[in-house]
Amino acid sequence: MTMRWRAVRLVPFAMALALLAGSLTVRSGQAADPQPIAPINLVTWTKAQYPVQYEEASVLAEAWKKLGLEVKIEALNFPNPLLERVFKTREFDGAIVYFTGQLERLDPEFYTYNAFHSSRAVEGGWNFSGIANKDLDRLLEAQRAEYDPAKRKVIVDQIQEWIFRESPWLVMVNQDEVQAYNKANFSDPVIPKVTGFNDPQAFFTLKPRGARKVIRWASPISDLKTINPILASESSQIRVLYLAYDTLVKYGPDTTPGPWAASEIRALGPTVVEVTLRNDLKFHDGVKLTADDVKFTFDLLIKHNAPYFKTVLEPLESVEVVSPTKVRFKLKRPYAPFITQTLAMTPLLPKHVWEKIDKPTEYENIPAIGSGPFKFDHWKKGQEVKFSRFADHFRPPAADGVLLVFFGTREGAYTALVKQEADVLDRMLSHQVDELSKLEHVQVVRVASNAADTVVLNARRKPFDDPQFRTALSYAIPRKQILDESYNGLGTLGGSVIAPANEAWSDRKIKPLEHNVEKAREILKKAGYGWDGNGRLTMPAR
Amino acid sequence: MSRGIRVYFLKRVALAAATVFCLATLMFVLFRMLPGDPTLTVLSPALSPEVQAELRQRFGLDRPILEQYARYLANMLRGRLGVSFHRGVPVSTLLGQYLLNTVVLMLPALVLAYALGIVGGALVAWRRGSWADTATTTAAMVFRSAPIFWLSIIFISVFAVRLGLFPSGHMLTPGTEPAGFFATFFTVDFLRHLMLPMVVMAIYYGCYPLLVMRTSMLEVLGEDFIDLCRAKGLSERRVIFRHAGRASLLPIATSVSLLGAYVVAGSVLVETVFSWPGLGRLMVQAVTDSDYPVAQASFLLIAVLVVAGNLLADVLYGLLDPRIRYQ
Repeated sequence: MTMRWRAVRLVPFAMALALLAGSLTVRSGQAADPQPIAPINLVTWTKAQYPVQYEEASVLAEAWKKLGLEVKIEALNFPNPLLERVFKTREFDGAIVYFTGQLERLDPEFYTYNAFHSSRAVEGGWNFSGIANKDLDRLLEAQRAEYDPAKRKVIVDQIQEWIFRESPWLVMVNQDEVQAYNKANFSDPVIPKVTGFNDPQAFFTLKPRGARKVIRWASPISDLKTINPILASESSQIRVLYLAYDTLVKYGPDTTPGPWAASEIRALGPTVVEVTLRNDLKFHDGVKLTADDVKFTFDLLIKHNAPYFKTVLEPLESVEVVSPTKVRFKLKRPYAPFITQTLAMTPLLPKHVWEKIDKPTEYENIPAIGSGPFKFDHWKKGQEVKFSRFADHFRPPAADGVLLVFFGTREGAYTALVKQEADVLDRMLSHQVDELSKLEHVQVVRVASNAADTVVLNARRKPFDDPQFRTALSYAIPRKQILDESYNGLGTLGGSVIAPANEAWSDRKIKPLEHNVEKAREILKKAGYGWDGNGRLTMPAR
Repeated sequence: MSRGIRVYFLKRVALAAATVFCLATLMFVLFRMLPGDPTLTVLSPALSPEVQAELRQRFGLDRPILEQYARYLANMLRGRLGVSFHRGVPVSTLLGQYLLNTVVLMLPALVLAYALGIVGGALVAWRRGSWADTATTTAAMVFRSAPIFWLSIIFISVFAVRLGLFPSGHMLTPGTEPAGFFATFFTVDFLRHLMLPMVVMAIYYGCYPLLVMRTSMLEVLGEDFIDLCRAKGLSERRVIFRHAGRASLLPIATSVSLLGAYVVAGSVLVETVFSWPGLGRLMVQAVTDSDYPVAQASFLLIAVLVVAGNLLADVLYGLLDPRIRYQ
C-alpha cells in the first residue's frame, strides 16, 4: 500500500526528468560529410489513455527503421503536456494526432485553411506542420471567399492535391464511428451519416417501443465539465448542449447543411448574410425567440471570447436586427463557412436570461434554457444529466427525454448496455463490437466518419521541410496493417486530409498510398539522401 | 482535564497545524512542477494569445509564483479554495457535493471492516491452530494482497453481471429525481447500490485489523491475568471478549488512523470501478485535466482528514488505556 501511494507522488518528478532528458537530445548540425539523420522524435499519446495511438508509434518506428531511420517515441499525457507540445512549443519531429469525427469539421475550412494557412502557424494555431506557402495561401483564401459550392469544390480539390503531394500530414486511417443502441426499447432512429449518435439529431428520432420512454445514453466520461456554452471548449461537451439549444443551420442526416431555426438564409453580397427566423420558435420558459436573441447571442459569445466559437466568429463584424424575425450579419471579409459552419455551431441563447447575469463566464447555466427539442431537467454531478421532451418545439422528438449517464469507464458503459440498463452507447472498444453484435437486444451502428488518425510532420525542422523526405515516410507506413491490427478493420485507409466519408468535399481522385518501402528508398535516393556504413540514412551532401 | 493533558493536546494540535501547512506548501509546489501550461487546458488551444493572457489573468496565473503562493495560503485560511478552471464554479461547492457521496460509502465500509476484523481476529486467535484459523488467516492474506480494483471487478462480474443480484455501478438508479439528504440516502435503492462497493471495501480493509487483532490477542492470551480469569471460573466467552479482547484493542486504535489514509487512496480505485460519484473520481478527473484548484483542494482535504484522524487517535489512546500518562 505504502509503495503504491509513494509511486503516485513520484510520477510528477519522473515526468519532469523524462522531459528534461528529452530536451537534452543533441541534434546533429551541418557538416561537410553526409551526416546520419538524428533520431526522429515522435510524439504520441500515453498507453493508458490511448492504447491505439501508442501502439501505432511502435509500428511507425518499425516501418521507418527500414528506411534507415531511428525513431524515439515520446508518449505524453493528454491534454497536458501533449497539447502544449503540438500547439505551443512545437517541439516534435512527428506527432500522432487523432482528429475526432465531428459535424463542425465537415466544412472544408477545418482541414484546409485552419490547418495549412501560414497565419495559423502561430502559437495556438492548428498549422502544426508550420506550412507557409504563398501559392497555397492564395488557394486557401480563395476557397473561403467562394459561396458557390461547386466552384468552391474545385479550389478545395486543388488544395487537397497540394497537401497530398507535399505530405505534411500523413493520414493513416479514417476510423468508422461504431455505436450501438437498444432495439428492444427504441426503434427507427434516423442515423446521420459521418457522425451517427455524435449528432444529437439521432436522439430526436429514436421511438420508444416499450415501457421505457426516456433514452438512457451511457457515457464513458465521468462528468460534463460545464453546460455553459461560453465556458465549454471541447466538442464532446458541446454536443450534449445541442439537445437543448437550436442553431440557425443544421446538417441533415445526409450531411447537407440546411436551415433549422431559420426559414431562409441568403447571402446579399460577399460580406452580408441575411437570416429569416421561423416564426414558431419558443424558449423552454415560454418566451418567444426573436431576432433580438440572435443578435444578443453572437454579441455575447464574441464579447467573452467563448473558446469553442472563437475561430468561427472571428470574421463576423456586426449583427443587425432588421425586424423581429430578420437579422443581417455583416462580415469583415467574404467567408463562405459562415453559413455552413458558424451558423451551424452557434447555439441560440435567451437574451432575457443572460442579460441579467453579471459574470457570464462564472455562470453555471442551471437550468440551461434554450429552444431545442429537449429541455434541461436536472444535472446530478458525476452521475447524470436529464433532458425532457419539449412539446412546443417545431419538430418535437419522439422520446420523452434523454438521460445522459456517466460511467467514467468504457467497461462500465458497455456493461450497462449489455444488462439493458442503457439504450445508447456512443463509444466502444473494438472487441466489444463483436460481443455486442451477438446480443439480441442490441443494434450495432457503423458509419464511415471523418475521424482522421494522422502523423503530423514538423516542416520547421530538417529534414522534415523536404516534401520528398515526407513522401518517402508516407510510402513506408503500413496503413493496412494499422487498420487491421489497431482498428480491427473498422475504417478505411487514409489518403486525403478530407476523409472520403465527407462526400461533398473529399477529392475522389486521391487514393491512399500503397505500402512500398522500395519506392520510399528510391525517392530518398533520387532526392540525394544516402546510407552510411551502418545502414543509417544520411542527409543529402551539399 | 489535568494540565498534562492540556499541554499535550495543544502540542499535538500545533504539530497537526504545522503538518497541514507543510502539506499545503508541498501541494502548491508539486502541482506547479507538473509539466504543461494549465491555461492550455482551460482553453481550446486554438485561441489567440490575447485570450490566453486574459485567462491567465482571470485565474491569477500571470502573477509571480511567490505572490500566487501567498494568495493561495491567505485564501485557504479564509476557506476560499478558488474557482475550478473548467467548471467555472467555486471549488468548495464542488467538494461539498462529492465529499458527502464518498463519506456515505467509506464510513459504513470502515465500520463493517473493523467489526469483522475485531470479532474475527479475536475468534481465530482463540481457536489458534484450528483449520478455521488457518483458512481465515490465509484468506485474509490473499485478499490483502489482491489489488482492490481487481477484487471490485470480480465482484461486479459475479454478483452484478452473472447473478444480477446488485447493480453494477452508480449510487442510485439513473433517472431518480434529485432529492434531499434523507430521501436520497435512506432508500432501498441506495442500499442496493451501496452493497457491492461497501462489501468489497470491508473485505479488503477488514483483513488488516483482523491480522493485527489476532496477533495482539495471542500475546494477551499468554498473560497471567487471563489464567487468573479462567481460574475464577469465568465463561470462555467472557474471558475472550471482555478481558482479552479489550486489552488487545490498543494496536487496533493505531491502525484506525493509518488505515484511514489507505481507505482514502483506495476510494479512488473503488469509485472509478463502481462509477461512484465521489471525491476519488473527482480527483482523478481534476488531475488528468490539470484543474489545479480542484486537485489541490481535494488532495489537501484528504491530508487534513488523515492528520485529524491521527490527532484523534492519539488523544483517544488515553481513554482506551489508563496506563498511558500525558506529561
